[in-house]
Amino acid sequence: MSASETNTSTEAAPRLPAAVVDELWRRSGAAGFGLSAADFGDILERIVSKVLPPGKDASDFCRGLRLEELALARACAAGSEPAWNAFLTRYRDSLDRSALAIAREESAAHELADSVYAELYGLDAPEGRRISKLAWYDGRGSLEGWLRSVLAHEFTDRRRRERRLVSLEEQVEAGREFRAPQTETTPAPDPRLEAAADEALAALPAEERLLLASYYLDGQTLAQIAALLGVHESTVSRRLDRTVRALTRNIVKGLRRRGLSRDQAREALEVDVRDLAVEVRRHLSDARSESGTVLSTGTKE
Amino acid sequence: MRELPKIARERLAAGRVSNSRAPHATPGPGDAGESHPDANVMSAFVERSLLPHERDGVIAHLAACEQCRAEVQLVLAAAPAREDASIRDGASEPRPWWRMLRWQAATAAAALATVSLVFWVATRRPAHYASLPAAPAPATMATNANSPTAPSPAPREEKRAADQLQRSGPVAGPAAGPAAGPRAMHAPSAPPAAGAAENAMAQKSGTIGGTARDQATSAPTAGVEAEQSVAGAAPPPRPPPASALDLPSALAKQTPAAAQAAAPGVEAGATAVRGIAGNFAARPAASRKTTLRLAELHARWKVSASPDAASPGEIERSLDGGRSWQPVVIAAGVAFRVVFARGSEVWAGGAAGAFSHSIDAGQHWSAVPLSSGGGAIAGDIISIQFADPAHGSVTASSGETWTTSDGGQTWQRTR
Repeated sequence: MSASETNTSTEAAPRLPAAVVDELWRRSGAAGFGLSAADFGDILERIVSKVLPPGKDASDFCRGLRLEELALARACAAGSEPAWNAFLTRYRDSLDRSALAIAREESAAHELADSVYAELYGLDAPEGRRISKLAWYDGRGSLEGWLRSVLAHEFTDRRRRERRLVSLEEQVEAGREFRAPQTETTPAPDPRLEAAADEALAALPAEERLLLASYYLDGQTLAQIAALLGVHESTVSRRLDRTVRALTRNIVKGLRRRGLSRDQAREALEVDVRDLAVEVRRHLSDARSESGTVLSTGTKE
Repeated sequence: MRELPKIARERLAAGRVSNSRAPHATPGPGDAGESHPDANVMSAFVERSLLPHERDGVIAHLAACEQCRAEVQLVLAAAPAREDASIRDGASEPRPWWRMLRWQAATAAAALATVSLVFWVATRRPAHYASLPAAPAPATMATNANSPTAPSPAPREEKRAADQLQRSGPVAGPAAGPAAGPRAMHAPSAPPAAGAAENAMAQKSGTIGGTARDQATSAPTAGVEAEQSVAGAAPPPRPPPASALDLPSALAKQTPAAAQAAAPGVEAGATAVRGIAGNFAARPAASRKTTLRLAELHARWKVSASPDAASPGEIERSLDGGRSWQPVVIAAGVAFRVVFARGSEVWAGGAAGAFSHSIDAGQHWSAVPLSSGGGAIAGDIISIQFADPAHGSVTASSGETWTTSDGGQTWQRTR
């Protein structure tokens, strides 16, 4: 999962028999793009050493890779003209489509796709040497999916940069760039409550925490979460329900272990003092605003 | 949905909770301490091709990293609907055997109940019910699956589909071929398998992907899903209409010059054959341990028909419904002329009796010698047909026909 593979591995013992390399090289069609079996074997070895835990069968693992796509991507990275032609014929459309689906707006999509193309061509390499981003593709997922991930990453990255820039500008305009960060005025929650919640959350399997975060923090739909985890929507809904119930129960248990009575624990969990504070604050600000109709009733925090 | 306690929400948002890796040094956007999964890991995660330990790591990271959650949702949003289907049905997670058993038991019980009811009624009032339709069980099951095409489905549908195909097939124009072919052929595979599909799953699959879906096109998706989830529970296979199987071979027989023009037709034919895949639900190959993604079961196959002799016929595979095609290298330098696919099982034949077989949608191939005591096949293979998983025949340009009745283990020359 490391982000780069710049460490030119200190030539550990190759884990792929030459015969397998040859077989995979043949299957990949790498020869058509001018990649020799030795080049391809090198690429495979590097992927294996990066990804596969020692002791696992490298041959089987490599057979499961997207060999053709890997050959194409690495040949592009190596600057092969026919490879680039093939790449553009096959992936330009889908890349543009994905960019549009991600950016959701024509001009932003163009910009996004352009910057990714630049990275693929390797234009913004640091010290003069062009390194195509395609040299990082390792064939575990489809090349198309990899391109989508690259686009999504670039997009969120950009958005974050822009947001930071905008908020800085705003602060400069408002003449308060040196203003101290706004301190939270809400009272800190009971440390016992915090500890019990942390404990209960940590006890959950990671996947259930992901469910909770996706649904309650990010506001994703059941369908989105289902697609993420590869399960059915009804399963997601069932699991969410079960998880919240178990979590609540465990927090109460944790609180009781910390000396609260059952009723106190329930109360601590259900009536968070800070809720009241927030409510009061909201009502005050509503009352101050001109239109008196903004009384919000939901707990939108 | 139940409310999450506020404190739990807050602690979750802080992203500090983690049981498998070091907590974030600086939570929230812009934290640089944590290494986020790169594009390889992200795409492999979405496509379910990560190694298990990696997948766990990614899930743990996602649970704590809002930025990566947003990113992965963007990736999913950009993925074509087709792949969505492969994600949704959880093809990569084999169902525990007891769940299959449960479905089998339920299906069997339903069938038994229907049959005994019919039997009971029929014996009580024989005269009145003498003309009761012959296939009550599938009809009931199909109704369970909310499939409006349910009652007395098979023969009429099949005929209509075959008719449609015949009308569109021989024309084999770029427009008529691919468009009408697959659609028409989807029909016959639908009812038997749909009966066993889970209700919700069947409905779901109907809404995924493509535009203008009619019953005929939505049903086979359910069929394949049924194949995935309850392999073995579906009724026995039904022999496909002959016209569908004749199509690819008929086109393959054409001269190389005409082959280019006919290429879309060949593709349509192969797709038509693919449509039959749903029929062979109880096929052991599908339930074997090889992990196949649904996209691969849905793979479309064609022979690239290039007229120049320099690049001989190559088998190509599409995992995205025909939008993009990847060459599949089976044996170097062999000109392939015909491909036959049924679910994950693929047969390819070509020049000088070259004949290969894959049981995992083209990931691995093995050459199949077409020979028996009396000698080997002569000429190029120009047609491959399987009426059911066991019974198939291969025709060569020399006019020879070879058949198998054991799923390709042994072959006999019959003509």
